[in-house]
Amino acid sequence: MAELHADARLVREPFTDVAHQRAAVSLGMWVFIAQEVLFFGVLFVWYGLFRAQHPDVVAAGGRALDVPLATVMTVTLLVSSFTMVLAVRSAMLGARRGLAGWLAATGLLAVAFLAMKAWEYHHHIAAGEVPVVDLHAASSVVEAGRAQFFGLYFVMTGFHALHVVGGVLVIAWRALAAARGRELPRWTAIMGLGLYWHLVDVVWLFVFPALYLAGHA
Amino acid sequence: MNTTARTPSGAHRFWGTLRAWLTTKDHKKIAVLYLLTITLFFVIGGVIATIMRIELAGPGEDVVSAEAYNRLFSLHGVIMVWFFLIPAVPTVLGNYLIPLMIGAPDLAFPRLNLASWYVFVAGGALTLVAMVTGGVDTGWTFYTPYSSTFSQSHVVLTVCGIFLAGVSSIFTGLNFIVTIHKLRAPGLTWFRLPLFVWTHYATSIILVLATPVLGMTLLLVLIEHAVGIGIFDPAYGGDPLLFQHFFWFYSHPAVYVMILPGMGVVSEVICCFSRRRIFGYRFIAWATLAIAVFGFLVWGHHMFVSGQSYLASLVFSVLSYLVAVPSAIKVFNWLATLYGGAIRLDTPMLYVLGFIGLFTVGGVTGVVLATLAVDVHLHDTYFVVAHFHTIMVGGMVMAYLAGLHFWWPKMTGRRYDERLGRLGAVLVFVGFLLTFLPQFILGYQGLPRRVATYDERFHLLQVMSSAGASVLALGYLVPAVALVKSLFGKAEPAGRNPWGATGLEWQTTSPPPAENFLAQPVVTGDAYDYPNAPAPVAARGGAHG
Repeated sequence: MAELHADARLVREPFTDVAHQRAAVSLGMWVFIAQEVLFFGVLFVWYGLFRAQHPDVVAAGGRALDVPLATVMTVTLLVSSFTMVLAVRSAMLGARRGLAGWLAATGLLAVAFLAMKAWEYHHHIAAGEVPVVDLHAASSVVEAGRAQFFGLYFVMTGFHALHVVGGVLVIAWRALAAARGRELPRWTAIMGLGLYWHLVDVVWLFVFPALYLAGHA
Repeated sequence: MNTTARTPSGAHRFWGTLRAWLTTKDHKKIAVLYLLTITLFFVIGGVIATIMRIELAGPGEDVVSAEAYNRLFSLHGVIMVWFFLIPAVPTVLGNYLIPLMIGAPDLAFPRLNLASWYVFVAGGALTLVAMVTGGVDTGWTFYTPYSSTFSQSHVVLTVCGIFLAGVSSIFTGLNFIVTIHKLRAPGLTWFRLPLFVWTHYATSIILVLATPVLGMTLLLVLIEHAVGIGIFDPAYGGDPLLFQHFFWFYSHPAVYVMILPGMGVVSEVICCFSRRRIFGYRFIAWATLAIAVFGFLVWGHHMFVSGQSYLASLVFSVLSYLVAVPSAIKVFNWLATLYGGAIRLDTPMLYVLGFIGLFTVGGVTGVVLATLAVDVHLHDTYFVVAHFHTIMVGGMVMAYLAGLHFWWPKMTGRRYDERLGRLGAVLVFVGFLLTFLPQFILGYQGLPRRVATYDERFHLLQVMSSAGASVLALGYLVPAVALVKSLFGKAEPAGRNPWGATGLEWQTTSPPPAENFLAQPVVTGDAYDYPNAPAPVAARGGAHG
């Protein structure tokens, strides 16, 4: 492996050397990821309880979702994780152009994911598959349950999508900074961004089967 | 800051200083920002408590309506729990002292530290806006479906405020964990750390692992309240008990967030004022972690009468007993540390001795409440209120005041009036006992909490409690006067180490320079080498008589 980019100008207070700072940023990011897991964990417990209480509703709801589209979305996110790894590598090597390019690719894939998500939301809302029901008009508890499934769907995918949006903003900011070339690529920061991006990816890898594949035995 | 030759005007200087403080990345200054903010919230929460105690001095709706009373106890809980009890010791004393105690120039992420304060202030501001525009009437517990479906009060705004306070907590916890892992001075191994640092480490783990659960749960309540998704509503296939599980999964560990840092203060103070090594260092360190771990496994003891399964209640009851073991280990070790020591009753020590007694009462009544059959009788009575306040006011607030007095000379470079300090400690202790001992009896007699009115036969004990609350309020004014007074007039300089304490923070100047230590300290021994510590320096005026 080529020599790591270890410029002393990358070090911030209170650290004195790059390796020390990298270890701290890395630990900090893992602690952040731990709290994210608990944050999303609440949604998965809600999902688990609802599925245990109403397995038929969840299965029927899963069949109403667009699996091929979600598969494409999954692949998109996985590829974006790959381009993010290449971005981190470029940052490590001090390759500013490579960093800007791979970050841009990651950001574009993420935007593509969000576009598909938006199209999917639009489709479900147009079809009346929304979490809010008028209980007086609902014919049975199953109808209310179906609304609850779409509640799960919108809340789980919505919080995930918000994390994607947050990631896109930081990726765009970092890509612009790298492209302008005014500052050295701060690769500890890019490494942290990479860890976050993989987390967003992994959360989706649990959301996808939980919601979309539920009704497909 | 201003290096121009022109003498800046007074207003110019003021704005310059303000700007320097509001953009500081120095953990010591951020701790002072937190101190001011948290004191403000303590005063607000205290004023609300005062109004409640005035109302409860008479059995009817004498001063406020029942509706207003609902809002008062809700806001008292929200403000005291999230804007005082949880942040107070970590963000003020922890923020100030952890880098000093481990020989570091600052926390690992100084900008994140400043950000945590801004987020905290934003959360507090939202909550105060909710308060002055009508408040919230759900209790600090936000039980569904009342909070999500029926309450007409400012649930959304308050929930947003608490969510931000939670984000701030997570930032602080994350910063502490990384700092303690990565920035210890050479030679400072884990088992040489001051116990104050250990308790903050355990606290930070709880903050990071429990707070996101509260955050998401409150967001779900918010979504349900605002949009009408029936997450916790059975009519839509939701489950209201699920909220209680989520809420207590956070809120039980959160009470350990409130008390553990206080235990760290107690360990430091008790060694210093008995001039002895801490007894059973490793036991206390492990007990600290054990409390943090067990704390995650006992939430169901808040739900014995909620309709959860009998088996679940039984398991939660047994697990709750287990928490008493590490707690008792700590109390016994503190007592053993006192044994044979050269005990001096300065202000911090008076608070700490009060802490040990009251924490024991609070802990033992906790075991009473963890007993399944007894809890059915005592649930939602004043007994629970008295138990909780004994741990929180008798434990946490006393420890906070002990720590504030103990490290005040370090933080300000000045010594406070020792006689006033001691008077405050005694008043707080006596006021506390008068306020809350009657509430144990009231609860045992079956008086339900969170109700503005009560039967005539409870009148005497309620009046006693209200009278005690006025002593307690006076008690809190005295240390405020003592500490603030020390900042003005002719100061008595504290010197580096007025108490003759061990610990790296006492080796630097008071207050410490921006970089904390002019040379990187190196640690060669354990944290409590009191047999070889320098002698305390008596304050002028012969307060150490």
